[in-house]
Amino acid sequence: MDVKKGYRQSLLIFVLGLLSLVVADYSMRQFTGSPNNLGMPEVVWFALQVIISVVSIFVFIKNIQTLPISKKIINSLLLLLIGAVVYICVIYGYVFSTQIDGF
Amino acid sequence: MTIYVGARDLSGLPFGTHQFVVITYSSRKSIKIGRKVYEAKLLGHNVYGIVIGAQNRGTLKVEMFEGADTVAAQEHFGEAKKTWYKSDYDTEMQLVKFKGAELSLEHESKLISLVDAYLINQSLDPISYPTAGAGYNSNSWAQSLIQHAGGKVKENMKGLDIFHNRRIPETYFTPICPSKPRVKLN
Repeated sequence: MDVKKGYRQSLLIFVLGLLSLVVADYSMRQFTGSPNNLGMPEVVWFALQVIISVVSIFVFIKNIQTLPISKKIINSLLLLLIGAVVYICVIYGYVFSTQIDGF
Repeated sequence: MTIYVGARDLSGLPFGTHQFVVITYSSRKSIKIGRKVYEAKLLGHNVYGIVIGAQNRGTLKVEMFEGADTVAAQEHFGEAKKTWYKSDYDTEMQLVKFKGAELSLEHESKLISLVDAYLINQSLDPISYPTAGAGYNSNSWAQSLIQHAGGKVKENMKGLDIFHNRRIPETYFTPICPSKPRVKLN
């Protein structure tokens, strides 16, 4: 059991998963020639994000199986916090920096 | 003829709302805004409209019939059909009132002249698009336009329409060079 390895693997899956999704969405927008319209269908876009998150959490939980319950909870909450920051940076950064949309 | 402020979801984001302005007519009509003549597009059954919104283009740039704004307006008025497997914008439209009435020709021309002036100023004296939209943004722009035109509308729409309460100074909507430089925003 290695908590650090758990974080590493889990976050790597999450980041790479989100980046792959972003690349696919951006390519679709370029291909259709209308970058400011809706890219990947919403259902697919958000469903894939959920799947990536679930896989990432599953890998993390597998790595912290033997920890006592209190440490499991603390580490899981920390992972969720880091995940939220990563999500905002990757997804919001993508939409705003490529000028796909904005407030 | 009526004016609405629309609010739609941001493309690809779970949270975030973008506001824009729609002028609707019951028949096809052309309007000169800036140097171009725009023909009202079909938005729904017997509803034609001009869709105007400020966009994230590095600067806060006003565009007519921006793709997402137009689809969102058509979604609300019925021209674009919603299905579960396609993306949608969950559009909200709020009617703008001018002294209690819906709209007069005077108010329409005032509104268009404000947009005209902004179009000139956005190339000469652009407002930078704020980092992550946190500053004077499309929500501020739509609400400022309506307020400077003398209209009243609900400000806080559904969702996270940040900075809808900020007002872009009227000098950005006037066609004259001010004696003092404009206050720099964002």
